[in-house]
Amino acid sequence: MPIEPPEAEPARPELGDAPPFATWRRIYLVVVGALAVQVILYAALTAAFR
Amino acid sequence: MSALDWVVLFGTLGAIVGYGLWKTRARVDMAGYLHGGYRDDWRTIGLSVMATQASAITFLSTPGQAYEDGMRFVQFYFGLPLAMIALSVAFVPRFYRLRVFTAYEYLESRFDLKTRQLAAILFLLQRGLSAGITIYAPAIILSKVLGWSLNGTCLVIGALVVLYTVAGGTRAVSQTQKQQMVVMLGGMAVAAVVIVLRLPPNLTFGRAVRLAGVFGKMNVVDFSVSPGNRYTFWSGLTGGFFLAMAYFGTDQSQVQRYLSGRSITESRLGLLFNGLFKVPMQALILFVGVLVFVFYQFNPSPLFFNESEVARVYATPHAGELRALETEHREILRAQAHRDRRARVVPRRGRARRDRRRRGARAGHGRRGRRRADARRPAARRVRPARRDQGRRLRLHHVRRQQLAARAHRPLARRHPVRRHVLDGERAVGARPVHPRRLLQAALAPRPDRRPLPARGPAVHGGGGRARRRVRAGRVAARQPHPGRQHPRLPLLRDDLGIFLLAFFARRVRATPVFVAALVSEAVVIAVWLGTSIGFLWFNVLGCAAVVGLALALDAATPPTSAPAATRSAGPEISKI
Repeated sequence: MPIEPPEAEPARPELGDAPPFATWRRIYLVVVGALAVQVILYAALTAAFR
Repeated sequence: MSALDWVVLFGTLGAIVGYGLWKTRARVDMAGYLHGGYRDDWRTIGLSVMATQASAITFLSTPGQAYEDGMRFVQFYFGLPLAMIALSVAFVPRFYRLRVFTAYEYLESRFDLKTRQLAAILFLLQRGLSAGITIYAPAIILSKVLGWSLNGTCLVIGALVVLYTVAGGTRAVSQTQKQQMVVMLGGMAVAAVVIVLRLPPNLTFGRAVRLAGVFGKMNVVDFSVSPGNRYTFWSGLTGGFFLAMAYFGTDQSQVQRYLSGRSITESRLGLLFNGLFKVPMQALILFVGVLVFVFYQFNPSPLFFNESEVARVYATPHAGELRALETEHREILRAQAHRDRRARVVPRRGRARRDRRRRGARAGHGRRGRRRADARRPAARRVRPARRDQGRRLRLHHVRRQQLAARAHRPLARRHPVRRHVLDGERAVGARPVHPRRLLQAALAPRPDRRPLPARGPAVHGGGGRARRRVRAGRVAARQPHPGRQHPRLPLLRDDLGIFLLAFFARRVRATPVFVAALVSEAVVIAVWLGTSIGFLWFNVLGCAAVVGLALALDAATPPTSAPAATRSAGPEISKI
């Protein structure tokens, strides 16, 4: 009696996890760096217009 | 309104609702309704996430916040980019792999039904309150523009929103919010340009900013370590991080946005897009408020900004009282302008240190004058026709019941019992016509629990002439919480993040300790909120830490009994992640 192969799990394209540019680490660094630059800028503004 | 205004208004509303309805064609099942078929790209997710957080309230009240309090509110968002990174790493892949429709669904599979229900109730409670305010604020403006009743406008807006969200599902919401975001940001940019163009011709942009700095509006970053200071760098970074984690990681209104992404990558990028642009966007919105402030240094500001309300009062027998208050307000502004001209508040370039000292002194004059002018505004807010008796009575807003109770010996308080709530959570007081100054005195009285009042009338004013009383009223006004801005924020939804962190990372902790810890932590946060004056951002840290700490302690202290099957069965699935 032939044994039926187990049903394959349906493909889940939503689980794809590859950044379209650079790497996740670099993207995270860009976000943190942008925040740091803004904090420095705002601190400078505060000091300049006190 | 011109014909073009009507076209823009109803064209926008019609397009948004029509688009939402059109999107219903693609809806086939529950998954499509809740996830939108996993079709959104990162741009749609990013703008939708931003628009979900930045409702009409943001665009209406944030410039007002800057007008009153300066730019420092931007620190509130400093923790957000870091939270977006943490969510991208820890939360998004888990939600996707578990294939959940809602964030709370996962809690039931990990813990039990009661924990899911507790988190969902907290979410619904907060979201319901928030939705009410979100509809109410733009309805105030729209009702004045259209000449409709406020209640009717709220109903129409609510009905339109319900129509396209219920019919179109999450995809319609994401798509329409993207368009709304563009419309709102475009409107804000136009407003900024118009304000700059309407500044006096001899006032350059740089000098306008410098003038705002003289008045303390360019106080963007504050590195002081003071728990009572609501917005500092540290509270924004720490409390803001936990707040953003809780909001974007556990609030279904946000989770649904990024779970509709085409893939984990798109959801992550959408969140990081938000992390990258949210802070500068808020800074720009706040800066518009600062520009409005500068604009009103050169243009007479009205006593009460809502002109249609003023017109309604002028149609009542109390027009004279309002007119007297407006005259007084104009006199104060005129005197302030005269002083400003003499002091030449706008500084010239250079002479940095010496000028800075002088500017401090001038700003002191300017601020005092402005406080005195602002002291008349609460009284004007109260001079409004009551709804029931066709404008024959005055209605006092923003006066707490305790304030009048403390002054029960005074005729004013005896005549005006508490009558109804107003929307901002304060008690409103219906009053017979009295002299505006009496209204002002009652309105500006400090809360008895904060500052005890003298026992008798004359002592309340401390004697002295009219001018001295005015100055005191201004000082008291400066100490008063600003209506709608500095009201204590309800410490809700501080537990959800802790529950989710336990669900994700404490694999052996059981359901009941988590549930009990969540309830106790909410009580602890509320007690701290009532008993202390620490900035509300710290409640996010406290609530999360209390849930995690208490749950772990309770779990360790109580012997394991017959664990629910669901709790244990979720273990292997979690461990796959």
